[in-house]
Amino acid sequence: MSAPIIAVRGLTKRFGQFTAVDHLALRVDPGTIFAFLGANGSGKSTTIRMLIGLLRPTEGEIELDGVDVIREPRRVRDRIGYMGQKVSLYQGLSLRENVEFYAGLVGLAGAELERRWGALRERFALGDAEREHAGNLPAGVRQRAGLALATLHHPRVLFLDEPTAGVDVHNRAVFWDLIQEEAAAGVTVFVTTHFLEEADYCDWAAFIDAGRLIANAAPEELRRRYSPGYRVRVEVPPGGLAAAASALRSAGFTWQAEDGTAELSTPTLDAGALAALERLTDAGARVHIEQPALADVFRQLVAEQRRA
Amino acid sequence: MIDVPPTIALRGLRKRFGERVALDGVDLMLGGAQLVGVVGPDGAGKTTLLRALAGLLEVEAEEARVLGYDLRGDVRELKREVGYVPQAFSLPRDLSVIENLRFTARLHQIDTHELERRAAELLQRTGLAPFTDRPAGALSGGMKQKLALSCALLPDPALLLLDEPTAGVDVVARDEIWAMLHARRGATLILISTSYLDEVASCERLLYLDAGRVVALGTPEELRTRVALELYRAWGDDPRAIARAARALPYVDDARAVGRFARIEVHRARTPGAAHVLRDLAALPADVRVAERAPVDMEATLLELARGPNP
Repeated sequence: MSAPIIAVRGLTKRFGQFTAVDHLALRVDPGTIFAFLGANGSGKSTTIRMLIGLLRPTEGEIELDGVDVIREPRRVRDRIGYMGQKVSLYQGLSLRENVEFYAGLVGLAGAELERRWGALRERFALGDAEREHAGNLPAGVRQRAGLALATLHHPRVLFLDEPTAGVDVHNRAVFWDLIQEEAAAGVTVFVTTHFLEEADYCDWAAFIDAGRLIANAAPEELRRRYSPGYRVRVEVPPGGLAAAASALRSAGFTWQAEDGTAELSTPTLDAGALAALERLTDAGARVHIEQPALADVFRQLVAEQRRA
Repeated sequence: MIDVPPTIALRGLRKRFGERVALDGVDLMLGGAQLVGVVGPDGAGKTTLLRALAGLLEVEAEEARVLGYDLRGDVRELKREVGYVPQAFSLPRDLSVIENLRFTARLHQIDTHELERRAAELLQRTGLAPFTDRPAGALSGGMKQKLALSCALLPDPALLLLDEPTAGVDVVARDEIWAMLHARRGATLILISTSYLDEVASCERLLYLDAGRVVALGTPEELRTRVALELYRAWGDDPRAIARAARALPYVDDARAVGRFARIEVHRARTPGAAHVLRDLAALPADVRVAERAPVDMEATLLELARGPNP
């Protein structure tokens, strides 16, 4: 296992009597997409503000790319990129002028800026928007521009706080393609969202409630723990299911069969379960798999938390 | 039989902001008590249409009647009869939850007894009951939206217009907001714009706008069956690798990893047929264990409508 790029221990923030973040422990592996989820007011934005060195914690430790963020908040600035729901662009300036202004802040200029911005402009499809006033950009373009600015200086970690709120379905898909490309190139992405299906584009999901971590696992593991599991409808030729029964059983499936069709379920769709289903299709069965929605996982988690 | 005029009757509704045409000839007849989702890409005119229907904009049209009032004339009475929740939270922030409800009641001349009864029910349903004395400005995003909806519902409006009331709201608070809307089902015509696919799917009808015009109006099922797309799922241990490999197939429009599967879109104009696609998916240079044809989902429906009729 590689060393984490973000390691958080005992992170706590109190505002007077109110504890916004309560002894949070997180570790984020480099090059992964980390979904940081929680209800409104659960402490997500407060946590991010501490992680990027804008807010001093009451207690705890934060290490980011080898830097102690609490002792040296300024040293993390050139290692991270940040964008929020409200992308900060100067409305009266064109996108190009915003880029030049921002590049100046991170010490990027001349041929190096042209090369970097030229590549981003191409990949993020911002060519048509370059001369537009930032205030006139449609929501989807504005969010892409925000992401381009946040990555201009080659940060090691990207913090994205509800980057797709208010963005239409097409632009959300485009935006997530870009995020996955960044991660594939080695950038670590720390992202919050209320579109819970987006957590399925992530490698890891942490849920917080009232400032405390209540779940912290890969999406598939969260499904296993907090959902009724995968449901599989199988149309089988005669004898098909009987031939595969022992393989299905050892892969963790339970089922109910009626003439010609069977309803299978499994808490998780691991390699063994997939292999057992593959054997069914090889024997001529048609398989239809329903994956539990992460929104339902979240509902279940919150319900369990409120009962406890 | 009594001929009931439709709640909303628009012909050629136009709205310009300077050079920009926001609504470019909207034709729309809507009546009855139904829950209608207003959907479409960013900048399609959703917010402008809802604001126009609330009587907040000067518009041009051949016909523009809402609840019997002409949008081109005096709309003061219309504004009293419509419940409208704008995109940005607009209630007085220094008034508490209960003060906001009282303030709304006074504007609509609801008597104290009636206010107490309705407010108690709304506070109960929204889970705002423990927070009645909290200033609106100090509520969380989800609670703010529930209060805004409560104030809109308090006068028992004949038409409810909601502009992205759940943007930035968590799933549990969204469920509570939708429970309030479902409770009004059969009582009020509700128009709601939203970007959440599960909310779009639970509307009774969808009004799809693009470039300031109505492109489609129908049930989610009608729109779903109308789009010329096929959807496939390829399950395996590395769905991202499967999606990458699937994109290399000449007829695949889009492929993306979603949890344990790769979701693959193929346009009907280009498909070599389901059997062929499934064979190709099974033979991809990525470990596909199970490939299946899936029903077209809401995401594919909206994406395809956004692409327009010419692929």
